[in-house]
Amino acid sequence: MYALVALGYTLVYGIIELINFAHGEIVTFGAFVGLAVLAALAGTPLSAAATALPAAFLVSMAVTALLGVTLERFAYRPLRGADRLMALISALGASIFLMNAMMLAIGRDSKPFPAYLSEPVLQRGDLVVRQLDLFLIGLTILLCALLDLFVRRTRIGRAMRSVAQDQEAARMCGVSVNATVSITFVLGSAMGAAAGILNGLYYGVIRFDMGFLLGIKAFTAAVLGGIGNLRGAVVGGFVLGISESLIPAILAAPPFSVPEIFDYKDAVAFGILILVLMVKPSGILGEEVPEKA
Amino acid sequence: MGLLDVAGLTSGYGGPPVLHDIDLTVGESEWVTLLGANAAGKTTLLKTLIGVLPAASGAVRLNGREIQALPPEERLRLGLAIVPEGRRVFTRMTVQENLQMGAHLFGGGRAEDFDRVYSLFPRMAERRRQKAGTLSGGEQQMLALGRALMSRPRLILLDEPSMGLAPKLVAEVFALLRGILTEGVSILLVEQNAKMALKSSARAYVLRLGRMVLSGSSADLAENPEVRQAYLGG
Amino acid sequence: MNGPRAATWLLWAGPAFVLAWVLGFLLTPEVRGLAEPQDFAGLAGLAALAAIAWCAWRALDRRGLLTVFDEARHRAPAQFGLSVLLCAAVFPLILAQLGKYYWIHVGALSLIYVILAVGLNLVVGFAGLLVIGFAAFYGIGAYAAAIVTTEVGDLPHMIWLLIPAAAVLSAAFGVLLGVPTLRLRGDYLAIVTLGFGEITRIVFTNWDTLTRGPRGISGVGSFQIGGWNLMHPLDVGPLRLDGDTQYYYLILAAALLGVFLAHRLNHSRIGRAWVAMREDELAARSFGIDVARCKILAFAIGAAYAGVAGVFFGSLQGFVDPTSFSFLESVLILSMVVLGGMGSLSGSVVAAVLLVILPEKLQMLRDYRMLIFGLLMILLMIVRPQGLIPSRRRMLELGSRPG
Repeated sequence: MYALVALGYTLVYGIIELINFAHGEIVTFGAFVGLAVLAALAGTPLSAAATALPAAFLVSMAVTALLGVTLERFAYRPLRGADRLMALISALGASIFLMNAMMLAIGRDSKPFPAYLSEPVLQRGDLVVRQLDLFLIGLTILLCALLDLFVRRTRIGRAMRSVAQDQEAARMCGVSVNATVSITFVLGSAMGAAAGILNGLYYGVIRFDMGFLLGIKAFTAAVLGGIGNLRGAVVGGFVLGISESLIPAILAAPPFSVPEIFDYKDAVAFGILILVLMVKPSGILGEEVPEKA
Repeated sequence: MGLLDVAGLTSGYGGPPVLHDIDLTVGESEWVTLLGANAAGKTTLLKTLIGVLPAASGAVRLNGREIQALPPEERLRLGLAIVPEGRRVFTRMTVQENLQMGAHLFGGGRAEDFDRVYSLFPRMAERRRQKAGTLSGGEQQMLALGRALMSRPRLILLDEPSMGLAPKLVAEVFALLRGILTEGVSILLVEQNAKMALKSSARAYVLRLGRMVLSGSSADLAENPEVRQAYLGG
Repeated sequence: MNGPRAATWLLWAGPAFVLAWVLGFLLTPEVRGLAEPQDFAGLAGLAALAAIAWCAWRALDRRGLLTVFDEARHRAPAQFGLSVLLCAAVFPLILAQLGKYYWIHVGALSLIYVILAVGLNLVVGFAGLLVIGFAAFYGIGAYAAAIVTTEVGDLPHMIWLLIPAAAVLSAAFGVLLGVPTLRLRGDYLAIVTLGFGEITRIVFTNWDTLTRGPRGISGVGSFQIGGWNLMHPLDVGPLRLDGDTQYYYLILAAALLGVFLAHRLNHSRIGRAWVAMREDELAARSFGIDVARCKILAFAIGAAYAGVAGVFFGSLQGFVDPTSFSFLESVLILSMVVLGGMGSLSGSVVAAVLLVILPEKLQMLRDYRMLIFGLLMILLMIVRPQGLIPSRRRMLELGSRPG
């Protein structure tokens, strides 16, 4: 799941070198759209998992993609080529704006997310694997693989990579930078929407500000894997997810025996981020990219 | 009227204009050379022609059609292509992918275009799966030229293709260009290597500090004392 | 009226006008909703005030007096400073006469934000480093004051010592954060500080034994001079200065010192190095500027400002809890810097005061406050990146930028 969110960051960063602060809010938005679809279908013959979930994913991904493009059009495009600091502040403004708009529209409370696919498929002692867990992992891998294929094998994916490398040379080849960046936001936002719904399914609740922490963590995952690198984002996402559950568990058990550590679970991601930045800023799969001014 | 007609073109990077009131013509299957010292505005002119820089005023016509307001992709469709200064190949893409980028607007390349480029540059064919960044400078230059050819241009703009190449490779590039010319493609070449450029081209212009100061047949310009002193080493 | 005399006149009239305006603003009824007649009176009053400010600005601008004012300000900084100081000093006295004690408290708070905004502006505006979790440093200062004065015992003058101590502590955290991101682009710093802000809040909330968790710490020590506690009312002739008023003056002194130091810093070798670094890091490096040292320095100084502001805050409120140092707080401070104009000290001061008192009046917009800040950040970046009161240097840079 972190992997999916991290993909959004890495896609946008790879192409226009901007940290899209609002990506966390995009994810939240996607989750709420998904919830709305599921709520609308509840009680109709389509409410079974086999029909409701695909509908929720498709609608949410489409609507969220639209939001992503709009965001880019109004908050980022006018600042392309301007001072980087300004684009960053604009991105932060967009994040705050979206977060509060959702709070006003939906409220401060957590909203319950309907449970789907909660039957266990495997049960051995304490270990329970639900259908949902398999679905989550499966869908994440599928979407990542599709995206990877798209970027590597298609004409548009090639255009995206060319813009990432050398915008002017790409334009000289007839690539429209605006269109390419829009497509990037479509893809990143759609991935974010899927991640948002998965997040809702997994935890059972969603909240207007859940994207905030999720955003920081996903960014960590992106950096961990090497920012701008799609496969790296996926690896980083999985590594982060596993460390987040393992590290507190290890520290809580002997010989460390610090049970309070669970209160600081959210701090683990951040600790990892600082550590990676100090030791190997280019990430696990990152190329050695020299610092740019 | 030529294939490319530039009239009263003024352009720059948003500040004071770099180019003032440029007039220039390139005919069908004609090779035109543009000479000028560093910072004379040669690269600016080519970038304005291909459309990555906007023209402040003046007209650019391709085949009689005004194109100065069109985005680069439209100009490419109309038959313009560029080999940019410093090659600018996509180093993190393979050779094949670079060529596909050249034909980006045409579905990523027709088979016969690949065949043609690979037969022009057999070395490219051997390395089609290699990253362009692993190629030598000369090979990258060939790749940039091949990339430009992929869109079947009627006019190729070349920005100092001989820069940084060994003399033998420069000769190779010029031989290739002569071959392309015979196929009916026009060439507008910006060069520091004035001697060779003037020998190969029909006509030439001299750009100084953003203005056209001389024009004429290449043979005449090669005899012009000013040109000889400034660009041909006396 | 001839030039220099008009200039002198403006130097005194300008701040006086602003003072009158702010007072008028404070006396306007609050707008809580759109139901009571009082709300409409408030709205009308605010609209009138906005119109007056706008007209005055336009009139001055059209007659070229703004430039005259600006030049006079630079020619006679002492006179200008005196005039501003006088107005700021009279402010609580007038309010006390009117019985508006709450607004003195708000005034003291807005001065704290002045310190914060100026500190952040040093980092963001001058050095060009985007720091988002600025409230973390603010919180560290406040908690340091709270913990030391309650746990160690409130020794009479200890809180004075806590000012430099908090500055050093916050600065140390600033350096700690800055070092790993130094070699990287500013974007990383932004997100690392954002994360740091969150972590700090989590620690404040969860480290029960030290911070008493979400309940917060009350009974934070107050400032004393000799045997005199600044929180106790003080009679000066016919005037009775309550605790807030005395704190107001104390913080005013600190804020003035802060602005003064920032101003000096800005025009020092370091200030020039920061601007050079922000504009072109490579070029700055080639001129022999130690970019890493400059960044760390900016970072440490900015954090120190926040730490000091935190001590004042903790002591003024007498109470600290994690909610005062949330992400929203960081956003508020950043909005001040952006609104006032990055690199503009006077802009930061004005924006800080404005953003503290404006929401107090527009109660009905409370919920929309953050929404508006977010929108404001985007719009300002696109339409007027130099902010409300651009710094001269920044104005030149932005004016000459092509496109």
